[in-house]
Amino acid sequence: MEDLYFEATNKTPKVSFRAADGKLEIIGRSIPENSYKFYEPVLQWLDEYIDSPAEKTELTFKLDYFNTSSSMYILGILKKLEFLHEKGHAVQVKWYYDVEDEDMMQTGEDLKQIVKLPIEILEIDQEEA
Amino acid sequence: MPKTPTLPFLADMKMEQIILCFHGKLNNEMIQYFIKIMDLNLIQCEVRKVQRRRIISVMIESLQNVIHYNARLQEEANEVEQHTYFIFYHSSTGQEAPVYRLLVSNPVKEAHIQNLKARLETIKKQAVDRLHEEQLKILEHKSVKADENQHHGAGIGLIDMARRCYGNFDYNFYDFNDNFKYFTIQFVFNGQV
Repeated sequence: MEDLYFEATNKTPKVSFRAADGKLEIIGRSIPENSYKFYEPVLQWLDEYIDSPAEKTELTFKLDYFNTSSSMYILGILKKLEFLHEKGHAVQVKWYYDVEDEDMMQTGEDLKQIVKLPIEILEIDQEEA
Repeated sequence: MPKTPTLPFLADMKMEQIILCFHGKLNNEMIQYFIKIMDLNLIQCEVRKVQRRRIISVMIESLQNVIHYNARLQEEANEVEQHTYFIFYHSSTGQEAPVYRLLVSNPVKEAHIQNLKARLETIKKQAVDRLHEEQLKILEHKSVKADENQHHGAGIGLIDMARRCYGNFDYNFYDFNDNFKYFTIQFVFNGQV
């Protein structure tokens, strides 16, 4: 299975999904005009990945802004990983937030409430922010 | 050439209060520049990052709503989309903590007003905690099957914006022409939160 990689733009995050080691990353800003167009290939890639996943899957989110239509797809991605987790595969989600941005931390907590997945909520190291 | 409709609140606005003002046809490319300008200004005003991000998130959501709405109107949008206003200004008085106001105004078809009004009134009546619960409920139920119909946000945009300004928003409809009214929504943020 091929990896999925999108470079970050001013409106869309970097997406780096590696099939072999299960390292998935979504980093940057997610405010596309049409979230469907951006996230549909991501969801499709996950559908394929779920059929033959890596031993362990680790998804990292590091976002500054995202619009509400992106939030639907972020949750859509988590739901797919929830399904993988339910099938007995190891899945870990890391939700990073800026220490000064309580709202982003709260969003991580909200996601934890909605999906049954191990979600770690972590502060972004200020030096790397 | 038809006369451009004017908005009553513009006459009362003082130049020195305005941080960012836009009038014309909006597009998604512009938003990234607005984000930069707003962020720089708010940093200069020593507004905390959490509040800066709230204000900017509301700006993004409200402007994208206008862009999506204009796209929905298709042919009619050509006649009205150049009449969008976006104004970010402060209303600080002396020693008091600054208050920031984000105002977005765009022509809305008469036929759509009733639904919009009903939705806004429902949101306005709800406490912020209740809005949070509703947002989670919508997310939980709508995210399962992502399809193209959801790129408008499934109605959580207004709830999210209302939450981010702690329910401190107001709206109005002003005359535009026979088929449209100027829908004006204003979000208020305390700079010291």
